[in-house]
Amino acid sequence: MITVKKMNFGYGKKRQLFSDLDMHLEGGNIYGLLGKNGAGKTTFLKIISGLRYPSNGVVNVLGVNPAERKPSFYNKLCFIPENLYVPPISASLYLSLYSPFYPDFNSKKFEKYSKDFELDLEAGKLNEMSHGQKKKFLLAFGMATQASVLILDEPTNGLDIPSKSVFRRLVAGLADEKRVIIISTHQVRDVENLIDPIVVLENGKIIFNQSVESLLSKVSFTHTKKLPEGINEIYHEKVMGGYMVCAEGSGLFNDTDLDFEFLFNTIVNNKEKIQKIFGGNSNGKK
Amino acid sequence: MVKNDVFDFKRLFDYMKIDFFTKNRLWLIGGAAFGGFALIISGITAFFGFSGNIHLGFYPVILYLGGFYISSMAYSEIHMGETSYSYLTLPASTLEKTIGKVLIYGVGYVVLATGFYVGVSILSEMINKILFTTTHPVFNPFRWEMMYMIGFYLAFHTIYLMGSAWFKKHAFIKTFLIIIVISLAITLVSLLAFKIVFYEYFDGWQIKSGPQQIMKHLDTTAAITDIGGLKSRMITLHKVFNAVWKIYFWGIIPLGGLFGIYFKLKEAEV
Repeated sequence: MITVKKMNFGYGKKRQLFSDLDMHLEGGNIYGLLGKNGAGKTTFLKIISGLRYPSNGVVNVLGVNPAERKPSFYNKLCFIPENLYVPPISASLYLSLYSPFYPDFNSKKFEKYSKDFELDLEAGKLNEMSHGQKKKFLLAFGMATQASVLILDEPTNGLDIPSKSVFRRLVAGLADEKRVIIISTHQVRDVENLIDPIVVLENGKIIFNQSVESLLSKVSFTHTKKLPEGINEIYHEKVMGGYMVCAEGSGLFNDTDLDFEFLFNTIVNNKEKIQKIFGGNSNGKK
Repeated sequence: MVKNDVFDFKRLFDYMKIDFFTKNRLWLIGGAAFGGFALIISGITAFFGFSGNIHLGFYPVILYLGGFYISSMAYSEIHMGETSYSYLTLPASTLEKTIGKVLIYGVGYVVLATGFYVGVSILSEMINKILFTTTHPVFNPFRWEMMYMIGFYLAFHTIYLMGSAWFKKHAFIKTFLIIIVISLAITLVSLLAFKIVFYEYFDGWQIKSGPQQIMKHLDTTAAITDIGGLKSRMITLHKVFNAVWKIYFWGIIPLGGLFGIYFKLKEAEV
């Protein structure tokens, strides 16, 4: 659904961000795009949405070049950025003005999502809502467009705890073969058990692009009181009540939960080891 | 059914609706402020017994100052991080996003501003009649001067729309200054060209008195003594200048504005 080949992009001549970037994102997945500040996550999202132009290379989303900014492309794409904008109008007017642009917009689904998020749509103008309410409104609208590409930049920022859980449930329900969902976030714990595969960007390069299944087939994680011995440890972190440990090999421990924050730290602090374990596949190249 | 990705009337209409409903606050505030001001001035002049056509003086203010000012904020959304995402990913083509604003801030503004001002003038004269007995003629937009004024606005507002697409801040002032600079440059170049072509009729930078008389009476049938074929050359030049001016003003300015907006929208990034 999304193919990027040898793509280059920089902010000015001196700040090259992406050099010959290759990436392929398949439908049916909820990609988690992770990375430190300035890694290029948001820029990547802007490029695949046609909001930034790469200097060269191929970017193909749903069979078209997003830079052409065709209406038939944008009515299948929904991008909810971190910094939200809602116009100073009521929710009902917003729906009547914006939904005609999305041929697959489903009002019943919008009502359902709004209800799940406990949104009060009669409560005045959208711009007078709290940040969290605005976000929930735009998420409900975005999901109701039934877009084939759903891009969410820091979607859980500003959401209260119950809403985060509703968000995970609703987004998980959207995953199907005809749709690709990309979630870029620093709040990795908010999207645990939701994102799969995991893509890690660093300095404009993909240093990791694996499904959870593939990940767990080669490495194991545990939370233990003492550092285990006799294992091929990749990384450990001291945490409350002991250690978080990542070791090479499948099924080494009985733990079933994967801590995404620890996983992220493992990857960014052990790039070479990870590269070695996952071979060419660690950056998504087959 | 595959929809046209370049232009679709329904999409254009939907796009215009969004612009109208989400950005009408400035129109309402500006209209209320100007309407109030016009009522007060009309009342004061009626109080002092002045019965001249003051509304003919007010209308250009709302048409030009108001219209050019709001036109220079028409594309403000492409310059702000939050709004630019929403605006650029809205499923409408660049052509629709160009034409839509031109129609709203051009024809749409003229219709609303004119209708509004007719209403203000009627209201003000009703008040004047009740309070001061002196009244001014009610504003009549269907006059030749008004039509010319509206035509001038429609041709020129695309430049301010272009300014709003190009300038992130203070688009109105910047566009105005650029127009002044370009106008001065054109005047200067025209004067220089004129002086070069008709150098023999100049005394320094001063046109000699004979040719001056010819220039003054170019549009009249007054019998003026020709000086070495100058009159016929001047008449030709006058015709050429008129034609060039018309093409420039009614063609190049609005089309240049449209192209400027279109290409800026094409290249705009978040």
